[in-house]
Amino acid sequence: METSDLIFPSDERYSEVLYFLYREAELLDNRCFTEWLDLLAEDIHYRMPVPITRGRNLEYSDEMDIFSDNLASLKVRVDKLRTDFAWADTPPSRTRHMISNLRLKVTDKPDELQSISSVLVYSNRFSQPDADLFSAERFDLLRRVNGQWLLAQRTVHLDQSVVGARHITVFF
Amino acid sequence: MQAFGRKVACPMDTKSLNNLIKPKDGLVSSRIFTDPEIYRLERERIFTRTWLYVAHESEIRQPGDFVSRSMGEDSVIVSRGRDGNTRVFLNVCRHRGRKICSEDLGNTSKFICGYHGWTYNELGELTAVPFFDAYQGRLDKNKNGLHQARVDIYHGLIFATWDTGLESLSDYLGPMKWILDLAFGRTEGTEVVGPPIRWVADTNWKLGAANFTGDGVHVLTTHGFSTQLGLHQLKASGGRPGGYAVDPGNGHGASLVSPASKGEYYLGLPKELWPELERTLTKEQIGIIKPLIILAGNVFPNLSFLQTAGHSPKEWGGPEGMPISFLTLRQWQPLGPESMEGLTWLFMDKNTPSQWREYSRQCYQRVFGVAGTFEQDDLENWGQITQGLRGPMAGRLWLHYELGLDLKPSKEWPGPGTAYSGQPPWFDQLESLFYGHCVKLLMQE
Repeated sequence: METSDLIFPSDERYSEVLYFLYREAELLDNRCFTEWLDLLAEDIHYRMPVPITRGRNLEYSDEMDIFSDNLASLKVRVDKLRTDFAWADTPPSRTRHMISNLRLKVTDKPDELQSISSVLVYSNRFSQPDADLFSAERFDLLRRVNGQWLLAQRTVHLDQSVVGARHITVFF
Repeated sequence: MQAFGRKVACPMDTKSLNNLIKPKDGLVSSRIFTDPEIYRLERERIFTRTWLYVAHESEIRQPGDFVSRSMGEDSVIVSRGRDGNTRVFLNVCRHRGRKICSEDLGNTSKFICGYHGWTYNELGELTAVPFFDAYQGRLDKNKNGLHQARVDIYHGLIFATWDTGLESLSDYLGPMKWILDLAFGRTEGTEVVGPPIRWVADTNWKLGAANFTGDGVHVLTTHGFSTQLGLHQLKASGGRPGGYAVDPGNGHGASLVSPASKGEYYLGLPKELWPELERTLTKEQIGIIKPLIILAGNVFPNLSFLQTAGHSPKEWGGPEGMPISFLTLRQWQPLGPESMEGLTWLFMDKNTPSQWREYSRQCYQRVFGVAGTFEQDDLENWGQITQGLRGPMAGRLWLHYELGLDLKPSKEWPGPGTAYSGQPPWFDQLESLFYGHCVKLLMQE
């Protein structure tokens, strides 16, 4: 990546995207999932490829994802939480998304930016003294539509090949 | 995160082991899920004495290909040799016991121990020992190859066992082969898609295995969101579903479900594959698979499989009106009385059309695996059971497996083994037999 592709913190777009990511984390941690869906583009592809340990490379599979969602299936995940059968998230999880290390790059399209950020997701339930911790790097494509930033793609690289949790219900 | 090491002195004799189940009453002692002493026996008497699934042939196609897996708590390497043969080795250096492979998969003709450099080839032979001449003839390389397990294969499914006296895989599977044909031997062959999704959960391994052995009843409650949101492709028209619960013996079990509205579903497989199915399966097997929408089962002890065609295509990744379905194999590896690793693979028939392949993959990734909208609730159940039974009073309970206990075997079942039919065909016998088989093996010294 050329240095000329980078967008630095002094750029207005950097602040806008940083605020977008903070706002998104706020909605998720406050369980405002319907509002979170409003931040997603119609053609969203939201996925977490399976991490693989092979040789000296830290690979992510291009054949299998831990989740691979479009807008319709993300809506099902959100709608599920409102049914009487969301057992894995009942009682609800206490989550916290810590977002950092934001790097921003231009793309071929003037209204689209590539964003790379680190995220540490903490998730705790009922009276459990321990919490699930997920560390990951997120590769996002952000698109400006009618003056608003929307998330058009997110690929989550989990820093763990065997997930250390009973299940994943939290959004990244 | 995991609760290990609950130290309870609990000497087990044959009588107290036998008292863990009451088969005639359909009751199972809750101790079987959390007792460390029972777990210790399972490690020895189940996981070193049964045929255990380790990999599929399509994962190690080329000479030198290998994958790291486990047999119970023992780490193993599944390797394709230059001679084309499949071998399974204990992943432990014969010198001082260091693991020699820490990768998930790869291709190599050399496994080098990082401690003192003992080196093995992909056939398991010890090929190099630093300062070998200094041993002055005391060390025999030929006797110190990697420790090898017995290997046998059915429809590309590679099984291994440490037990040299155990029956052949074919005899071990018995009537289960007829059922496995419907999933893995129905076409020119099935193959694995990508790597497994893996996770470690705070639950006893038997809960996953028993669930797939024969628990159809849980679907309505555990996965009730799907009904509440109207996401079923095949609505419950014309009443309850039918089908069979099959007991193939040896602790295996399988459920075969067809909707009340009898039709031709072939487990939701694409029509392009139907002629291949007709050519490959027997007349009796075709009669059984034609109306099926769900096939689920467990090969004792810990290998589960499922094909289900019940998911609404629109939300789960396919075009409206087209059945969508997937075949998955999953394994529940014991890590302690209250911990297991789940591994789940997607399978595809070799000649599956590419577009359908993608629909199937999307559907699978949205409903199964550690983040799957269905599987996450299964894991919640099994975790809550393991947690709930930890206390001394909870550990004295008898748990219920008597649904359908008085049913007579079906006379219509055309396959081998004993089958029970009903609407729905969901009974507890198979789970009861699974636990019965566990206890039988635990009692064998």
